[in-house]
Order: sequence, then structure tokens, then C-alpha cells
Amino acid sequence: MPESIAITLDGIEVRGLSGMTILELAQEIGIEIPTLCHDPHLQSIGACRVCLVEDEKRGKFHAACVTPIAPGMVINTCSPRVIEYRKTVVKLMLASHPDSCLVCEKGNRCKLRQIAADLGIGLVEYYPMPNFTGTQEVNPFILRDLSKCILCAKCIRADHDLVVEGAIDYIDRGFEARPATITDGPLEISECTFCGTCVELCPTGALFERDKRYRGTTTHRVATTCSFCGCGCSFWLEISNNQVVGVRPGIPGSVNGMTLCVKGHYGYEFVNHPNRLKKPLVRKDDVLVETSWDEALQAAVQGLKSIKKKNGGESIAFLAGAHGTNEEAFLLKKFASDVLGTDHVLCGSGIYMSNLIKGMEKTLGFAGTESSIKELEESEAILLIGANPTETAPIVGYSIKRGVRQRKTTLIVIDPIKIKLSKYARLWLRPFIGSDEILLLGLINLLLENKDFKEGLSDEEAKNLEEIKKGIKHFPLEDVEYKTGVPLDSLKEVVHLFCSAEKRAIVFGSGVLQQPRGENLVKILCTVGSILRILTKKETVIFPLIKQSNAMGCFHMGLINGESPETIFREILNGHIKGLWIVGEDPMVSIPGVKEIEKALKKLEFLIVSDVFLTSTGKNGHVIFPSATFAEKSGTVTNMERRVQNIRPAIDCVGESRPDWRIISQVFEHLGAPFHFKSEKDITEEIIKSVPLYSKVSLSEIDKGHFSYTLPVSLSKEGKSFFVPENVSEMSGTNKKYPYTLMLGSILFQLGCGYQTKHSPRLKRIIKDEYVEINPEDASKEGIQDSDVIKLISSAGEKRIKAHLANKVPKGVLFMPLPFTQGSTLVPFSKEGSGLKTCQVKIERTAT
Amino acid sequence: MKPEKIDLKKFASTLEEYKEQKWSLIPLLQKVQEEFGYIPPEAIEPIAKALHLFPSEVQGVITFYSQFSLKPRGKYVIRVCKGTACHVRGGRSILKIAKRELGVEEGETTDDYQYTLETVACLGACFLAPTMMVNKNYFGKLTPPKINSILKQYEK
Repeated sequence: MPESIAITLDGIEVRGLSGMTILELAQEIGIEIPTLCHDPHLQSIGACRVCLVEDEKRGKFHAACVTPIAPGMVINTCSPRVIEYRKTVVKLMLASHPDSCLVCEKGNRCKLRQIAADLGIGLVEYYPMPNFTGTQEVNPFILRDLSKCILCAKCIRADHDLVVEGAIDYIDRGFEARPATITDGPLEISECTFCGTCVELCPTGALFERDKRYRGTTTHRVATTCSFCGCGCSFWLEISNNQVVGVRPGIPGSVNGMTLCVKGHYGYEFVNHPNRLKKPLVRKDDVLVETSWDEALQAAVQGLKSIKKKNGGESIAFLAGAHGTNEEAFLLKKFASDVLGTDHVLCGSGIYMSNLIKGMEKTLGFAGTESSIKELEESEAILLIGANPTETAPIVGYSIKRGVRQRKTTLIVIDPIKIKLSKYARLWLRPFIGSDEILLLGLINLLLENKDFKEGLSDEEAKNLEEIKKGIKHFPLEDVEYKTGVPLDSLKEVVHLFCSAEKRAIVFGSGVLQQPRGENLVKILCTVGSILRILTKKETVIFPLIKQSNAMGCFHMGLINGESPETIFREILNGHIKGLWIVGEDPMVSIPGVKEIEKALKKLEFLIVSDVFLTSTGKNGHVIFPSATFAEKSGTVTNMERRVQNIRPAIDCVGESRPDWRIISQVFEHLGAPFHFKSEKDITEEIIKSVPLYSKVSLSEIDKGHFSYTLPVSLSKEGKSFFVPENVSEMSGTNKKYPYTLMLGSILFQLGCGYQTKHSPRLKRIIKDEYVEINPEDASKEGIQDSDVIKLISSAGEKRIKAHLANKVPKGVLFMPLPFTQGSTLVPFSKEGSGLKTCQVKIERTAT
Repeated sequence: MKPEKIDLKKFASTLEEYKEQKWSLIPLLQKVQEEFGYIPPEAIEPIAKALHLFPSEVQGVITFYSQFSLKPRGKYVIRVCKGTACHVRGGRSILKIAKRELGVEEGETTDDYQYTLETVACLGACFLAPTMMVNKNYFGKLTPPKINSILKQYEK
């Protein structure tokens, strides 16, 4: 227990807790001590010496940020002696600092300049000794000008302790010492992911955002929630002249704290992109022409009405993206079922979430995670399977890496492809593609063999385990090694490492969910968790990664119900659905099987698309509504850890665009909806009333700034905890015609297939060419050299693409980032269930 | 030592010995330097991996200590003292002559990898100023002719 300590601070007797630093106590009672190298998110190192204070009794100076308080201390924070010393410290910094304040990017945000001004330092009489010259960088995000570096090591601490990349550290010594990458090269050759955390923390202009369109002071900022991935980061949008001109992290109590990822930090430019849809469009003589809102609404209402009259309301379907708000999802579902009587209201994220929901609800009785990203960091052991969080959910990636580096978390990675986290893993298992099920059943087998845990089980638990044991007999342990390629000893070590840990988590992502037997895999993973819980009586958390900002909310609002979004297109092709309204989704890009999707869209009698840009899907529409982005509307979104947060309007709607909820409610008003919502708040109120999970959300708190409320896991946990499949899919031998397995996966610089992020110029610039990765052995077998253009051919289509030789993919496997699949016909349309992330291909060399 | 193609397998057993012990970075670097005469940059990555450190951290330690070098060094490392006592007694001229004789600047190595010229802040033998070291041998009360004769001693 920390004890209370009394010290005298600037003549006032104050009390603080033992272990507190002088700086912390001073800040608590409102005495300001200037600092340059201190930040509450980082460990203090006392590097800058600006926070020097005087210990009156001993006549010594202490750095307030690292000196703990001691009983009876008498501290002066601004005596003439302190000020004199502090001035000298700052003057010495200025002596090696260029006189470029007038043109410096940091401008009034520069802390060195602020402190110099506060201390009344004008011209410095010391002999000027400039440090370094700027470094050449090619990346479009961050520029370094080391001549302004004051060696506070904030960037290094951010890099090592917050985002754990290890891209930079000090190099050399004395006057030469400076933060540098390995070999002192540009950032892009290092591990840097351009998250910009260092830029945010840099007190001077040594690190700054590159290629900003706006350089002046911003007028105001608005706290809101990121609209990209499922982490749900909060940040301030900086506004000037009714445009979003910057993103700043650091909102207290947020998921991300001081960190962000490159998308969240630098991808905001899509908001004010010149190509934004600014006016509604309607199809006239087979051409989309701009029109007024009245006319567009009229056309939409007419179109829907005539289909309803002819074929009934159930022949109209709705497909929503998972980047909207809970309010919009709720409204769409409510109107569609109450006014049109249709059940076909689905969310695009159902493509991977439907397996998750079916699998988890049937075993554990709820879907999503019980844990949080923060708690994940505190796990002692993490099993990561079929997920690549450093690319798809960077904040989760930081959390896992922090755990491994700072808390000695044991990380076990199961992935055929080498991911960034493989490097951090104690054990990396590389099963053959499609053999995860056998591997996991082997794991269950080994768990049950473990005799140490037999004691202390209740009768029911023992009975359950007995039953699993019976079921698992069909899958003998001896088969595991040759069927998966994973040595049995490695699997035994997994069991050992996992069982000996106190707090455990199983993290999985779409690598598991978008497999042909994704549902079964989820059930088996949940079963592994349940068995571990019974055997060791210790916590085992199931942690699925959710890829979109509001996929969880769309699930809660009933848009993801286990049915995959492909159902809609199958029903269109069957002729059951005649009219479709797509809100913020681009299925021609995000759902495999572009040919079939396009055929279906063309077959529709009536297609409405509301989106921020004119997408390839939109080009097939009859009425196009220009939607507002997250920066222009308000509402709530729910992240992967069930945290409901608010998004708030930062700028006026661009052009004539409108928030989706308004468009939806205007159309349905004309269709004769019996209810009327005037604002987002009305809808939130209705959600609180009619969605039980959300009943405790406090309406009055939502608009007060950054809002965060964590939903209960589930109101009723009903489910059978265990599952053992009756059979497993055996590897169907090698496919002679299409010998390679093409795997698709997300990359850091784009969100999934590139929805919204592909309109951010800087994110686009970092990836120069489309590429597919191939194992060097396969490449030499096929006679392919690095950077050769090859042709990939699948049963569904073909694509020409550049080949990169990479050891990260195993033999027989090719890896292609998802955004490059745009408009590609490689992955076939799935006739049942949801779309896959793999397909069989063959390679053809092309004449270049 | 002339740079050969570095065979990283050469220090695999050393790595194994020091694996997973963060404190062992400096002894490990010393061993590597003993083996190769310098620390080959391509060794940074495996060292970092073995000790669970970031490569940038390992580079930071290597570049902090003047004993470690990331570049191949000459058979003889000549360290001319730049300390105060040596400075007053003409240390600057000593350095100038050494530069001229060897045809290299401070921190450089001759093309035949015979000599590396370095300066140090103090050799702790001020009473012998001006001083310099060749590998582990001290030379004091230097004069221009003396330097020439010392360098001759170390020819080939």
C-alpha cells in the first residue's frame, strides 16, 4: 500500500502517495513544471533536464519527472536559481537548434518554443552549434529533420514501448548521437509502420507529417471514433475552413491512447477528396446524370414501390456496409421489416462474421469477445491462429507485442504464412493449408491425455470430457503429424506452454473464419477454450478479430445473423429478389466472384446505392445517393471489444451529401413508414428502448465529448460448450490442373479490399505496384524471377500480376493482398455459405 | 584483417551459448568482434533475435562504444590521443603526421587493411604526452621522427 507523504512544494505543504514523482504531485495540485521529454504515456527518463527543481534542504537539483517524493522534502519549482538553471538548459538546446521557427511545420505546437517563450529567452548568446541536416525520406507520411532534434528520446520510447516495432534507436555517441534506423537509412527500409505515434510525441519540429495539404493553425478539433477497422480508436479530427486537416490521438480512456495506425492517422484525406459524390445521380437513358435530391428520392421511392406492388416487399433486399453507425443499421433493419416486410437485410461483413456467430453462439452462447484489447496485453499466453493483427487490427497487434516484450507473454502463432508476429512468437507452427481442423483436434487429444488435470472435476465436467474423448477417437493423434506437417512435439509444447499460463487468450481472425469449414473451426476453438477452463480452472478468453469499425454493431442490430451476404446475390440470380439497396458497401470489390455479382446487379430491376464515392457497384445503380462520411454525421459504433463509442460531426456535409440515416428515413417516409425520426438521437433512443443489449447506454452522456461504454457480453448465455466434428475435410490431394493455393489477406496500408482507404492519396502512394508473393523454390520451378509479370489462372478467371519472391509463403502457396483482388475474377463466387479467402490457381509465365 | 565473406555459421554456437540473456549483449559482441575483427552488420539481426532485442538497440550499443566497429579494421589500430596534456604538447601535429604517413583520415582504414587511424579523448598516460597506441602498445613522448620509426616497426 502506498503511504501518504507530506512535502513542501513552493512553500505549500502538500501530501502525495509514496512512489509519486515530484512532477506528478505538482501537476496534481496545479503547479506547472515545464518538461520536454516527459509524457504520461511513456516511462520517464529525465533526459531533457528542463523540469529541474531545487531541493532546498540539500541544495541539490532534481529532475522532477524521475525523482520520487520523500518525507519532509522542501522543493522549489520556480526559485530564481531554478529559473536560471532552466534557462541555461533551454539556451543550450537552442544553441544547437536552427532559427527556422517562422517556417517550421510544428509552428505554435512546438514545446521548445513555448518553453523558451515562457522563460523569456530571446536571442541566445551561446556559440551556435547546429547538429544534423535533414534525412532523405521517400515515404509519404513522415519527414525527419534531425537539426531540430533535442534528444528527448520520445520517438524511441514510443517506438519501443508503445507500438513495439524497434525501427529506431540512438546511434553513435556524444555530439553525434541521434535517433536512427538500422544502418541509419530512411524509415521505409526499417520496421517502421508509419503509425505516426513518434510524430505526435515529438516536442519539436524534428518529426512531422509529410505532404499535409494544410499547414496553418487549425480552428478547432472534434473528438470522434475512427471509421476504419474494428479496433475503434478515438482521435480528434482537426478542422480548418470546414475541412478535415489532421488527426490527433491521445484522448484519455480511449482504446488506442497515444497510438494510431497509418490508416487512422494519415488516411483521413478521403473525407475531402475531390472525387466525393456531391449530388444524387439517377439513370436516364442508361446514363447516370446528376439530379436534385427531390427527384432522386422520388425515383427511389417509385422504384421500390413498383417492385413491392409487382412482387411483394420480400423481393427487395438491403445490403449495408459495416462502416456506418448503429443508428443507420438499426433504421435499415426496422424500416425494411416493418414497412416492406423483407428479411433480406444483411451486412457485407457477414462474409466472415456469419461463421463466427454460428460457431460461437452454438458453443458458448454469445459471439464476440468477453475480453478487451487492454486485457489481451495482460495474458500470459496467447494462441494466435489464422489472424494477422499487425495488419488488420494494428492496436491488437501493439497489445500483443507489448505483452511479449514487456510482460513476457508466451505467444504461439499457427499460420502457414510467416506474419510479422511470427518473429515475436515462442513457437510458430506452420500447418499445411486446410489442415487446421486436424491440428486443433490433435490439440484437444493431447489436452485430454494430460493426466495432471484429472483431479478436482465435478461429475458433470468429467462426463463432458468423457464424451469429447469418445468423439475425438475418430481422429487419432498418430495422424496429426503427417496430415498437418506439424511435429507432434511442437504440439505437445503448445499444450505445455498453454496449460502452465495463468491467463490465456485464443485470438483468431478471418484466416479461420473464411475457410470452407469456418463454423466448425470456431466451434473447435471454443471447445479448446472450454476444456482448458475445466482442466486448469483458469481463464481462457476467446478473442475473434473483427475487421470493420461497426461490424459488431451491425451484428447487434440484426444485420449479421449467420446468413452470408452472398445469399442476396444468389437470390437475385434465382429471380427471387428484384430490388436492392446497397448502403456503404461495394460488393463488386469485397465479395468474391465479380462476374456473378455484376451479373446479379445487372439483372436487378432496381438498384439504389448510397455511398461516399461512385463505386464500381454504384455504376450499375439506378439511383445513387451521395452519403456523408463519419466526419460529417453523428451516431454510435461498437468495436470488437463491445465498446460503444460515439462519432461526432466535425465538418458540414461535403457538397449535397447527407448522412445515410437521413436518406433512409426520407425514403421510407415516402413509402409510408408509421414512425418518424428527426435526429440521430431519436434513433439512439429507440435502440436503447428496443435492443436489450444496449438498454444501459446513457443517452445524455453521448454528446458530451468522447463517449465510451462497454456492453455486457450477452444477456443470456445459452449454448453447449463442446463440439467435436463427426468428420474432417481431408486434403483432397494435389490439384493437378490448379496446383497452387492462392491466399488472400489484408495489408496494413489498406482497409480490407480498400474501401474508402483507396481514395487516400498517401496510402495509395506507399504501395507502388500490385504483387503476388511466391516461394523462391516454386518460382525457380516455374522459371520465374523476382518482379516478373505472371498470369494467375483459376477456374473462375485470370489476372496478370507482378511476382515477388518471398520466403514468408510456404511452397505451393501464393499470397496476394486483398486490395489487389479488386475487380479480379480469380476467386470464384461461392455457391453456398460465404466467400473464401483461398482458391486454387495455376501460373503461366508471360512474355514481357 | 581483410574482409572476407562472412560466414554467420561461424558464431552460431556462440549465439546458442548466450541465447535469451539480455545482459550478455556486450560479452557476445566482444566475442563476435574477436572472431571477425569487427562486427559484421549482417550479424546484428541474428544477435538481436537471440537476445530478444530490436536490431536497432543492438546497433545502438555497438555504435556507442568505440571499441566496437561495424567496419573491417586494419591489422594495426593506431589511436592518437587528443587529451588536454597531449594537445598542449603538440598532439595535433602527431595526428597530422600519422595522417600523412598513412594516407588516411581519422576513423579510416588503409586500403590494404594494414592500419586504422583513430583518435581517443585520453589514454591516461598524460605524463608521457603526446601519446598514441598501436593495438595494445603505448608510445609516449612522441616526436615526428619517432612516429616514423614506430610505424616502420609495424610495416607488414
